[in-house]
Amino acid sequence: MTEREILLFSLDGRRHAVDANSVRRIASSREPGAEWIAASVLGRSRVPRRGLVVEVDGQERTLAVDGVEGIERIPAENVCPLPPFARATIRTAGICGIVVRGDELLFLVDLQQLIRESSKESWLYAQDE
Amino acid sequence: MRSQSLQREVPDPWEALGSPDHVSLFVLRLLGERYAVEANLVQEVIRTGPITRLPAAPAFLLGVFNHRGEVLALMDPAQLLAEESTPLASGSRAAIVQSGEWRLALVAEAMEGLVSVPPSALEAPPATGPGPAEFLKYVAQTRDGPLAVLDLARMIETARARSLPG
Repeated sequence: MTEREILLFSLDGRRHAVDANSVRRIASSREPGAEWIAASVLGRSRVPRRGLVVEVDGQERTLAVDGVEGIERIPAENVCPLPPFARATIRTAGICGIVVRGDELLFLVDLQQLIRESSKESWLYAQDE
Repeated sequence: MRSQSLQREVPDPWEALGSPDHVSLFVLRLLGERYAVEANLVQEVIRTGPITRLPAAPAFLLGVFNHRGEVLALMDPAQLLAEESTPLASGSRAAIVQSGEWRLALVAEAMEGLVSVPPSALEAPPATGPGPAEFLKYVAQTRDGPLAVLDLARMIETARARSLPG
C-alpha cells in the first residue's frame, strides 16, 4: 500500500494538511526579523505560534499558523484531487486536493501557491522581543 | 399505444426512460417552484452528510462532501438562477448529476421525482436574459402546468465563466 506523509496544522479554527515534503522546516514565532504571512484564503492566524517555511520562487517564505499537530502517514488513496467542478470554480490555486481522514475532509494545501496569492498587506513582520 | 397528449403523461415514468416516445424529466423544487433536469443526467439521489465549505468559493459552490469514498462538489442552482440560497442542513437531499465530463451534486428544497412527457410537450424557453430564463433548455407542458427544464450544461459553463479571474 502506497503511503503519503502529510503535515497537519491548524489555522483560523480549522485543521489543514500539506505534503510534508513541501515544508522545509517549522519556525518558531520568536525568531527575530522574520517576515511571515499572516493571512490567506485559509484565514488569519489567530495566535501565530508556528510558521511553515517553504521555498517560493527561490526564496524562503513563512506562513504563520496557529499550531502544528505533526506528521501522519496516510494511504495514498485517501488523498483525492479537488472535484473538477470545485477546481474549476474556486478562486484559489492554494487548495490542491482533499484528504479523507476518517469522517473528516481536510484541504490539502499547496503552500507555494497560497503564498504567491497572498498580498503584501497580509504579511506580518515579527518584532524582536 | 401511448398517448401523445400533453395532458396524459405515461403512468410510470421509469418505463419511459430510454423510450424514444417520451422524455423523462427529474423534478426538483428550487426557489419555491418546480424545475426539472433531463432524467438521464441524474445518476442518484442521496443524503449529503456533512458539507465541508471551501474558502474562496463562489456562492453557488456550497462545498464538498464524501459520498461512499468519492468526494463530490455540491452546487446550489438557486444561486445561479436568482442569487438566492437553498436552505441546507446535514442530511439534505442532493441529486448526483453527470453532464459531459462534469459530475457533481445539486441541492434543492425537495426532490419530487420523475415525470414523463412526449417530445411534443417540450417548447422553447422564453427569450433569454438575466435570471432563470438564461438557464432554461425547454418548458415542458405537463398536466400540472408548465415545467421549466434546466440546461445543466449551460449552468455549469456559466458557473465556470463567472469564476474566471478578472
